[in-house]
Amino acid sequence: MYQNLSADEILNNLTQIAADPYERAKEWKMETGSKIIGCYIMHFPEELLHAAGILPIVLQVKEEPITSGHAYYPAYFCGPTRSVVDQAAKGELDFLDAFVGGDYCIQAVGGSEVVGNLLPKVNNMFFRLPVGNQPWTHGDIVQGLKELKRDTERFTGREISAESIRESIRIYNKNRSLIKELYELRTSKPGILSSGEMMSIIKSSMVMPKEEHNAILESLLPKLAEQKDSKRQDAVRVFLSGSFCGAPKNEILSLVEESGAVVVGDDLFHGFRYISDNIGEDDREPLEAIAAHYIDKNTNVPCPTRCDPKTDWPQYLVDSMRKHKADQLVIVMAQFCEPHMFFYPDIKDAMQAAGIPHLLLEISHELDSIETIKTRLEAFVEMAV
Amino acid sequence: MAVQEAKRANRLKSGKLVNKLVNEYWEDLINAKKTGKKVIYTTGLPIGPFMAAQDLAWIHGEGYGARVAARHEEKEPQTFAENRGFNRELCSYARTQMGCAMFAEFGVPDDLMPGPIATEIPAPDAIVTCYPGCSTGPQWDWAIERVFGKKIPWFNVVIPYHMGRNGSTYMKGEEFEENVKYVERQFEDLIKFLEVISGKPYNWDKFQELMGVTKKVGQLRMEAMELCKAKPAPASFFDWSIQIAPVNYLTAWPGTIEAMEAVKAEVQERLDNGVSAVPTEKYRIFWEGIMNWNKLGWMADKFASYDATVVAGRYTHMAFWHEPDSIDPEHPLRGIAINHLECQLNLGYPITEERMMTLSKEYSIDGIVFHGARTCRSFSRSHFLLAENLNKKMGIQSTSFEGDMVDDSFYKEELVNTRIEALIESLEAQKSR
Ligand code: SF4
Ligand code: SF4
Repeated sequence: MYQNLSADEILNNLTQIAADPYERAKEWKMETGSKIIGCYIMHFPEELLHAAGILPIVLQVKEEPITSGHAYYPAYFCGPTRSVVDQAAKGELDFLDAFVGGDYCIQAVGGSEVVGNLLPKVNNMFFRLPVGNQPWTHGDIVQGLKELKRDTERFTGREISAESIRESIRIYNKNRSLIKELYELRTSKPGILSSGEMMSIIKSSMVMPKEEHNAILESLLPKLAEQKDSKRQDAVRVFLSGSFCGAPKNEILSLVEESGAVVVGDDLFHGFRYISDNIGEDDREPLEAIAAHYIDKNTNVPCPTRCDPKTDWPQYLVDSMRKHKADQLVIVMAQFCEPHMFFYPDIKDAMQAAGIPHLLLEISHELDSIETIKTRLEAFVEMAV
Repeated sequence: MAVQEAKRANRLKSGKLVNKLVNEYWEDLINAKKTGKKVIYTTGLPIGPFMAAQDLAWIHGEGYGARVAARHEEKEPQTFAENRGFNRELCSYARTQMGCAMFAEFGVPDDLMPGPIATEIPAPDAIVTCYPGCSTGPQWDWAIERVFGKKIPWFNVVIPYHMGRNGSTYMKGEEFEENVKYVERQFEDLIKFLEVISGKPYNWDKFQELMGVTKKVGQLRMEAMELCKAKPAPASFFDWSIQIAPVNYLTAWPGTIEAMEAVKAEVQERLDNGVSAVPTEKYRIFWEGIMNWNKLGWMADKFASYDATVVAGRYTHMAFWHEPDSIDPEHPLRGIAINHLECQLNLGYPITEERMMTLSKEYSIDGIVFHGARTCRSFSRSHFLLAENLNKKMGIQSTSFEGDMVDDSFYKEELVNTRIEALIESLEAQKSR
């Protein structure tokens, strides 16, 4: 059906799916009678859950203000965890059959405890993902995956075969590859996709069946490839970094572009971080391959929650900036995001040493300082003009 | 309405013995390098015996932060950290210790005049993390590793969160047993790491001996605390906060058994003579949250003024060798794993709630104070659920206020006063019903 739509129409559809992120999943549940599992929020082996015949979706931050959630989670916790708690408190997550929490961040652990309490009928699972990068870490991650596999099998009452995991890996790899092609296209023609559109593509991928998303992207890609770059060649080239767990607000992304910049690369979770690496499709046991993927993708795009001293996120940013010929770095930090806050001084030092201008935007969920953000962004981009 | 007279908490006198040990320990540590000892930075639950057995000195990050704060020297290291870009919403223990570590590595900037304790931290030869129930701990140690130029060997014992999957409960079940094995195996690797750092084979005899001491101190402390189930309670949560050092960074330091025996004897003597922590105990309170070190004495007197004894707390009663009987000094790794896995921060919500309900019954709790330490989100993550559910299930009233462990800028004293007053009023109303 997407064949007959223009690139803009397809992008509009994806933007709509991303804006109301659970609607497509709910429809799918009606159509198939199958189960949906919510992932809270980063670092889940969606392939393994998909192989069980259920639809894994990444729970999303909603832009609406937090109301009911205030009674369950303190205001000094990060927006992404509070927003999901708020959705659970409002009954918006009642469509889930299961949800899985993780230990990558204590705020996510606490949030999943609250969500578990608010959704007593929803099967409450947990994925243990050991941090670090020691000779034994790979084996420990495999063990965590085996536990999740066992618990998923208990939940569905069906065994997950190695072959079905391999098949899911292929589907998910394809999705990542297609999105990576979009990234490559955007590198040569930065104007063909705004950062908001890019984010909607990835966000929609997180909340709908990957098979369907693949089909959409296969229609979209050739259409976009034909388009001409609409951006001025002299636009300031910005690299966006950070924003763990939650997508940066659309307003922020628009402000970056309205300030006269073009986004040429990112390491956002709702961005390149989510699709950076494929899982090996070789003869290995699939859980072994998934575990290796966790270590590899973190080497390629380091994550501050993974506590791997062999990685160097600040240096990665310097290298990426050079690779993308970016002029400036804009850091989007969710307020109260501890893993990110621990790294900021090192990133600041690395940028200063490399002579790269950067701007730190600490964003509250309530977005209460939007005017200040606008002024700061404009002044920052202006500097490079 | 409760009338507040200025009354003083009747604090344990034997607490002073601990001060002597604390001073000896820090003296030894500051001079460690001079005596040829290597220095290990640690965070999280007590793992001192692992290092002590190998004649290595160890610095507990939180202990250092608390000590700097207790001497009112925390502002300068916190400012230094903030000036470098560490956000003040980060764990204040981390900010304080990191500021001190930065004084050691980068030197003291001209515009700061830190106190002597804040600047005496020796640089690390290795870092060992053992953090249950908080991702901030390992991230903090990683930040320290970067402060020292990414060249300090770092070993991170991953303590898996005990969620309570598949019916696993406190110290029971498939998940619990899997976790114990996983941690035991990591301790074996830690021992190999310490062999490399110290350059000699591991001294198992000494380690076993020290774990025997740890078990004994743990037992004495738990027995002494349990004596406070009596009404009125002979000692309070604030005494137990002061007594943390012997079961935390001082674990197995020479003299800890004697110090804890003296504490237990004093509690017993008080019990025999009808002496209590709060002379006119009317209400029994549970302190939920991490301790606020720069407000300890003030808080103790505040509650005493309201005839309220803070009898127990999650911080003191659900961690720090709180399961001493699980330690077999001959084969100590399993027992250490159990104590660390089943500690106050590492338990999933339903297990935490069950433990809190049990303690509330055992200690005849009337009300709970939730101290929402702003920068310790691991502790405050379950406060709202606990307040609601303990009220629903046991009729326990509570109050809450924001604060912090070593950054007093998060306190609003007036609000703290009003909240405590409100709790006492509602307890009074409940009692007179
Ligand atoms: S990583 Fe940051 S955004 Fe994600 S849960 Fe933790 S604090 Fe929140
Ligand atoms: S936030 Fe709390 S539990 Fe976590 S490292 Fe800091 S003091 Fe420890």
